Amino acid sequence: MNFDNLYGPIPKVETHNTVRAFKEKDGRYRLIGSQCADCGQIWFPRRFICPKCHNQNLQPYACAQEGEIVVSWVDNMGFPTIGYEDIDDRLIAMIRLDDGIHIIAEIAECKRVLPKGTRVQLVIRQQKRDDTGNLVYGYKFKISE
Amino acid sequence: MEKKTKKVVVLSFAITDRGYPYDTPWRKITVDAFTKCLGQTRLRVEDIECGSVAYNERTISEAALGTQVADCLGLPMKCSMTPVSHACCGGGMALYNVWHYIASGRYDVGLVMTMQCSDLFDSMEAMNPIGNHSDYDYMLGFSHVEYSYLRDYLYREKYGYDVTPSAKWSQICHKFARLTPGATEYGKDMPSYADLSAVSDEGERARSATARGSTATATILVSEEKARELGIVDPITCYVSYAFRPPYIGNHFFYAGDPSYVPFDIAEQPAIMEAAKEVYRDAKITPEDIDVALVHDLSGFEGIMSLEGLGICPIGQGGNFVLAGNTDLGGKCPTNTHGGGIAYGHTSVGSDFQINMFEGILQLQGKAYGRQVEGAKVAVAQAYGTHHSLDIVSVLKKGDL
Repeated sequence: MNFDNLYGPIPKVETHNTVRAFKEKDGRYRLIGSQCADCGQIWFPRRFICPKCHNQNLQPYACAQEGEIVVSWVDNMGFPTIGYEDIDDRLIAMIRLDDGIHIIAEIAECKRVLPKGTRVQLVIRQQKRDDTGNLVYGYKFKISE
Repeated sequence: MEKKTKKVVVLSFAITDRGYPYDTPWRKITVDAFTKCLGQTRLRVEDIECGSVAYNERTISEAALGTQVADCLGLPMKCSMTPVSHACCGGGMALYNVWHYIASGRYDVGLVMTMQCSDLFDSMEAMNPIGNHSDYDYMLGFSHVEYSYLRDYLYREKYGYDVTPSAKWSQICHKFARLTPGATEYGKDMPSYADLSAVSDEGERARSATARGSTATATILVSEEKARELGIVDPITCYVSYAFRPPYIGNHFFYAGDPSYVPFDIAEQPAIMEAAKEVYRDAKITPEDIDVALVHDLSGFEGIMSLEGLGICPIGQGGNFVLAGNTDLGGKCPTNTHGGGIAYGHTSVGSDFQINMFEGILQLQGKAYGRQVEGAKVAVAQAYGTHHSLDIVSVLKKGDL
């Protein structure tokens, strides 16, 4: 394998685990969380026990794919996490989805702080290159059209 | 909590010096902290009956770490050494373990070890996303930094502050850091207030914690009977408690899993409130009794939110509390008199909790020269792990036995 073509260094300790990521693909690609069939509470990420009523009758739940900015911040402090070294500034936001779930995510195609209440929608974008050389994709949000 | 039978006394403590070469193994810094701590006592290695070690799982991947540490320190075979991996307040969790071992009456001498070794990363880069469910599984690439600044921004927006409370906080901490031998900033020139209050990336960095590199600490706790047997003068007793929130920060918003947390989001710290409530009850104090507070402050606003969580000032009023000079010497509650994160950096599990505890002990012993809070009898130390998904609060008392 020609490592010269990789964008960033190959860390010895990598937080990405391909198998574990595969198991969580529904959450990463489609925002699938959980809904308690007993009390109705919705959760993201998915859970196997409901902390509200403590029952285990949780069903897959597709979170709302649109929402609004609660708070945002441009990450340009100069120490990106592993795998993100080749990416410049990133706009990070806490988003309240239309169903009330709160999601932390990167805002794609935007590098400026967005005011509270800005409408955003789910998109799938490239996230990083992992230690196997593969590109990892997952959810981000962008300003609603 | 009512089942505990003994008070717990801090016998000795030590932190490693700064500046270990990059190739220093974790066993070396661990041994250094331990021998420095034990050397202050009349105890021998074989007197250690139990212990707990907190380590940075990002850089130390060896199995059975408790055994590895016990072996490298030459501890007796019967000495249990419980490993804990609770991110940046792991040291507080190790204290929590040993405190209970002794308070329960089973042991009389316990060892609390913490270490963060820069095997591969510097301590800031060690903040890669391993501690958060969605970060780990979904590769968002976020770290403490993102959570910290989102929290700061929301706090400011919610309670109507600009950056000045954080600038004031950091100015006071920079001053204290220059009075604290061992601090990263010791001996350096003070930054100007204009630099500290700048609305820029440089300003944010000037107001934030530094990095310190490989660090280990050791603390020896003993039972009240053992303290008397050793003839300890003016013993410092300690109490400790903790509470957690969901690791996923989105669930910090109006968390439905516990009625206590429902009213809050990331601009308040209910886990600190819960832990403080319990430890104040155990130590028989109220927030008004606290003479000095030592809190985890990777940014100024984090420290401010911690003061609110500890009940030292009302929620949302922390910024005004700081601007009024109440965290300085002579204020209502001198805070981070060692300089906090600006002075000791973000060593994560290496010392983020312990350095606060150690400063509290120095204050109660009257040994915080140049930054001493006169007549201090009660100190509180706090740290968090994984962006406040758990918080440790400890109370230190003088004249308690």
